[in-house]
Amino acid sequence: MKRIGVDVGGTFTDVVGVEKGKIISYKVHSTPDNPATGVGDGLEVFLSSDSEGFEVGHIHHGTTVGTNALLESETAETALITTEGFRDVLEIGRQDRPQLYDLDFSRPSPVIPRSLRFTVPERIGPGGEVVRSLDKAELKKVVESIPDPVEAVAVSTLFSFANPVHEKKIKKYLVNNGFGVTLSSEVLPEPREYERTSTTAINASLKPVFRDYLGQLESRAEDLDLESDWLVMQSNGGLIEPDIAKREPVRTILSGPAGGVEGAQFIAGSAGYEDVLTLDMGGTSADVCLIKDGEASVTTDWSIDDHPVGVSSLDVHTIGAGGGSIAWMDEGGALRVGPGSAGADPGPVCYSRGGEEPTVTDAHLVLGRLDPDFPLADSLELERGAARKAISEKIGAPLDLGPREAAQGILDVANSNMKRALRLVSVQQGHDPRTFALLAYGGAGPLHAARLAKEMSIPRVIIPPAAGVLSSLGLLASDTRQEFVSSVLRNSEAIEPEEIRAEWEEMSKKASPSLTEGKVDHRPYLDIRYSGQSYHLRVPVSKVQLNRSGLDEAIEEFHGVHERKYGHSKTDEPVEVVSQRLEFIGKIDDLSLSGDLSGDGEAYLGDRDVIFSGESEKTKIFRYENLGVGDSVSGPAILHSRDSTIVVHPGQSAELNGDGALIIEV
Amino acid sequence: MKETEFSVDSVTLEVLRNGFNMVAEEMSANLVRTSYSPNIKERKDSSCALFDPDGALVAQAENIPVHLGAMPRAVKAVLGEFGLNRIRPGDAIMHNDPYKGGVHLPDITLVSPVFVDEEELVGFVANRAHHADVGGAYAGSVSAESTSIFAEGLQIPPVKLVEQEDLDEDILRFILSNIRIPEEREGDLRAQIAANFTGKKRLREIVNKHGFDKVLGVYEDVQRYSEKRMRKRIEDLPNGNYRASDYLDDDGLGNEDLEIEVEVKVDRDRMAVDFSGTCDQVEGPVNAPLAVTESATYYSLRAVTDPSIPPNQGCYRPIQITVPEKSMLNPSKPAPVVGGNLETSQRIVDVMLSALGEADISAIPAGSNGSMNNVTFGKSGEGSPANYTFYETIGGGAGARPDKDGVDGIHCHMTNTRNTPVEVIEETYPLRVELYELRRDSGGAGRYRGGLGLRRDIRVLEDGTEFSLLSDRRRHKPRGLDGGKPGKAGDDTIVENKTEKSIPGKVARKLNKGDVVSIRTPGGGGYGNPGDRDLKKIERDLGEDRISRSKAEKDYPQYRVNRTSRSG
Repeated sequence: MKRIGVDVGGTFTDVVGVEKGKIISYKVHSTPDNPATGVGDGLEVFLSSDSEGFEVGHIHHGTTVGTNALLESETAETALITTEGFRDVLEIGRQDRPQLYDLDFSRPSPVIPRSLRFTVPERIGPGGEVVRSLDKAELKKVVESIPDPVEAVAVSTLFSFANPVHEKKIKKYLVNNGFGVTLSSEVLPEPREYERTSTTAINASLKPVFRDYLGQLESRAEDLDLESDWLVMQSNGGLIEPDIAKREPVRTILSGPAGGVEGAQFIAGSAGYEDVLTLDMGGTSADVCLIKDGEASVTTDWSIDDHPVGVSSLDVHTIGAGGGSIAWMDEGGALRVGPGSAGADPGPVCYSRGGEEPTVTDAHLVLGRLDPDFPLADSLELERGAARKAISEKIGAPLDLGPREAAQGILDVANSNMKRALRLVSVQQGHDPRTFALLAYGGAGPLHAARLAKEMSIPRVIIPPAAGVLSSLGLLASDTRQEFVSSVLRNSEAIEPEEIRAEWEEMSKKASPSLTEGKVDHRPYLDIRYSGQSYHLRVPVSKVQLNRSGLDEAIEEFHGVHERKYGHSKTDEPVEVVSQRLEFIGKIDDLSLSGDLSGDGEAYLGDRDVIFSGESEKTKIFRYENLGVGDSVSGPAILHSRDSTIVVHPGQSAELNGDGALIIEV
Repeated sequence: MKETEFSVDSVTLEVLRNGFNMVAEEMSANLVRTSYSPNIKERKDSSCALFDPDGALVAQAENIPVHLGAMPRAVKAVLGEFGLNRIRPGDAIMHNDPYKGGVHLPDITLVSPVFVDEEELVGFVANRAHHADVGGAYAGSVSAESTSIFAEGLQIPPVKLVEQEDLDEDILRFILSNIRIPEEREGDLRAQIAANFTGKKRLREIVNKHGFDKVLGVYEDVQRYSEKRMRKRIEDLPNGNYRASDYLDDDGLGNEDLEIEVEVKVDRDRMAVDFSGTCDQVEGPVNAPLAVTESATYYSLRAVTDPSIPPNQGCYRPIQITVPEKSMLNPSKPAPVVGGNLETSQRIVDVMLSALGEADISAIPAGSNGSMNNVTFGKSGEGSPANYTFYETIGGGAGARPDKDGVDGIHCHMTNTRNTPVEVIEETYPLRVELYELRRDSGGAGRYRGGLGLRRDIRVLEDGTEFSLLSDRRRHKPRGLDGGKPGKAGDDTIVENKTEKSIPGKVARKLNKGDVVSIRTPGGGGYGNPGDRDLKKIERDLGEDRISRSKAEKDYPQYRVNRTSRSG
């Protein structure tokens, strides 16, 4: 039994499997109006093609259904019930405005409008004590006044993480009255009322959407006689079962980018690199992420459309720099690139689809990095003359530069923007990029990576095989993962380790079936802080069977982590345990790739002139898919592949490793 | 390549400009990451900047606008005190003196020279952070009742906290002895030292890569670049003299209706801003040191012209600011100043925007909340915690715009600090937040409605709690524009022994267990004639309970007519 990965992107839905180390992939058009259709089409194509004998086990699925529903306001009509006096927490947020100097600013509409935000008299205090008990008569009135179209209700009351008694009573009443309910104490039992309420509201509003979507997928699979179990990708790079995704869809919002980073992590890990910066550069934007010690960095402090989401996600940073980014002269006489983009339509000037503004892709074409003989994505014809003319007129003339110099300038400025993004996730977090490898994918990533690495003193670049379907490959390479949190909020001296242990055992019982058998890794963590601090650090604990010395070890580790992350620690200060967490990782069998890129024909195609640092250099041209394991090339060289174009600069060398990834020595 | 007005080609210019910004941004990330106190870590009340060897601002990473124009004087103060010959590699010079380029005492600035090869000065890096306490008569050092700067806290003239890489432990001990919660201050000061260290390292990397001369040349280029763009934007404004004035309610000591007057003269690509006509310096702590006045002026210009112009000294070259000495906007020592940065700065913006609106009304919003609504709770002595200071600012309503409503419950203009979550407050301090909501009916009526103010009620859980409120726009309302009505003024109360009493906008007092403070912040002004407001918008506001039925009937004739015709 084998697994397949299905990733729904904006344009294409990819279906990928690995057979005897060989990647089998199919692309079909996505169907944004009803993504389940595209997924079904993809599965059908995969099953009816040469993947015969490929017996499908699990289907690993990455989806943008959650993101799209949120961005396009197609979520379910949802009501909120919260503590009396706090109706507007969801709207006021942190009272800050998104741009400092923009007098024309607006705030995104709150997830739930004021007319659907209700309050009930009740109050829990910071220690979990009931300050005011729940007024049931008022609750009844509130529930009766919820208007008809509303089927989903988010419940988020103050300090519910310390004591969920009122939220549970409210849920019981709502369920009895036929509502779908999300409690803040279930989805994010942690302090900070705005972030928790926002997460809860988003979850409640996505639940009906996910229920319908996954229901459709399951029935389509049945029509295809697939008796496979589905697993859905979460934003944090772990897979979950559909039942959990239906209950907590908020965990899947960044499912798409997570697949790519997981794929990057797999390829880099397999090549022996544990510390990696990933760069996914497409047409309009670039995503960067940091992987340290083989683990992609995770954050619980992120947002979608300015609405905070407190459940964990891979820490992916996006900037407006892609192949379609437009180069322009500003009124001060500086050359700028992006954030405006020509996108896919009209696209760069060289696509000849009506684009008039020169872009990064046009600059690559003028310098000979891209070539009309090698159409992009196997079909897009490139017009070099048009690109050169646009760059000359719009950039070259005002700067009094020839087209080549102007094109080089565009790339230099684009690279300096990307460098800033890469430094943000590395240097600004206290990591030295010189000890990392750079893994680049997406259509434009491999065009820029070798130069970027050189400028940042990054010694090695990794270009993955099948860079165009890395997200789906990542789905195949991911493990299942389920997280539980509960609030502790006590001084470390007042804690009985047995209580923590008992709670962890309680959590174990809640783990989904796939996580109670097979190879399961338990990862307990404590969130610890110094007393009086408003932020905490997550500290791993060696085992679930916590005793006093285990607790002491965790506290010692906390001081160490604090020192490393913030540059100081206070070992004699009292600490508090904020929450306890338990993560289940269900190990899925490792993928193994053969490195056979399945091309038949010569890899070396001849030479052509390409511009590097203003000089025309005779450059070797290769067909990437025709390379064999161990083949090496020395720069200057260009490798054209089906999904992207790889540039190896003069003085650099590259070799194809056993997985079919190209490793460039910078 | 064409000889341009710049010392390098456009590409190098853009690459190095990015590099200079990175220096400031990485310093800022480092400062926020390693600081101790929530005020810097969570509310990000701090800024970092890079200066050329003459002390001109080259690049800046600011988290709140009030720091924007106030940094340029930070290095000048150090140069004034020490002179170039007494500044050595490895020094870090600290100061907070509002009469020497600072803004108010809680904002401590740390300036470090950057040398390459121990001899060539290639610039300065500086950072500024708001400390939750710098001593003085009241916990939090933000008191509404000081009558001199000596009561506001410890004044630190430019001194070398670090001399040639050696931390001066004596100075540190001296400062910490005068400040509440010294551990936290020490942690924050060390984070400030570390931030400058990061900045120095990054700048040296750039110099090593591009060379000393090129970097110095590009310092000037980036300033000239910003200057050029600023001049273009000023040229877009019609030539003329534009005047406006407005008032602060009072100084907290009974001196009322404090007038700020400005004349803005636009002459082709230059602008002169003259505050003559502004009232004399006052007894209470609302005097704005010159750095604050400049900061608020620059903010207004930046917001009205083009916020994407990189902020550096070049932006300010086309602008001449005149402020009479010993006036409220350029006071002399020992006038108290803590509220100048917090409250008066907001009023300077109101006046500046009004004047610029005379030139082009379509560019500006109606009056916003106009106050930072500073609230401090604190305690020295028994209880748990025995000593604490909790300081926060509360947002209000934003002014309506020519084509849209003002935003409800948000920070406007000179500040943008986040609120402290209710659950964090209550876990940390003996306080209970009982209500946090939009204030119905507080936005000014208009074709576009002003934003709603906020209401925040806090119950004190221990006897002997010190409370201070420093706010404004409790009498003089945020103005409406083009026929729009003004926003509602702020209005605050205390419930003591079950009786609710109004309190002044600037007040400090002791509270007992069970007392409740209720802060109600101003709403924004409306824009355009209320009679022109779309009926659907009125009905939406009613449906969402943002305005009351009686208010709708009073302010909007079209609603009255519609109701009558329906019921009739």
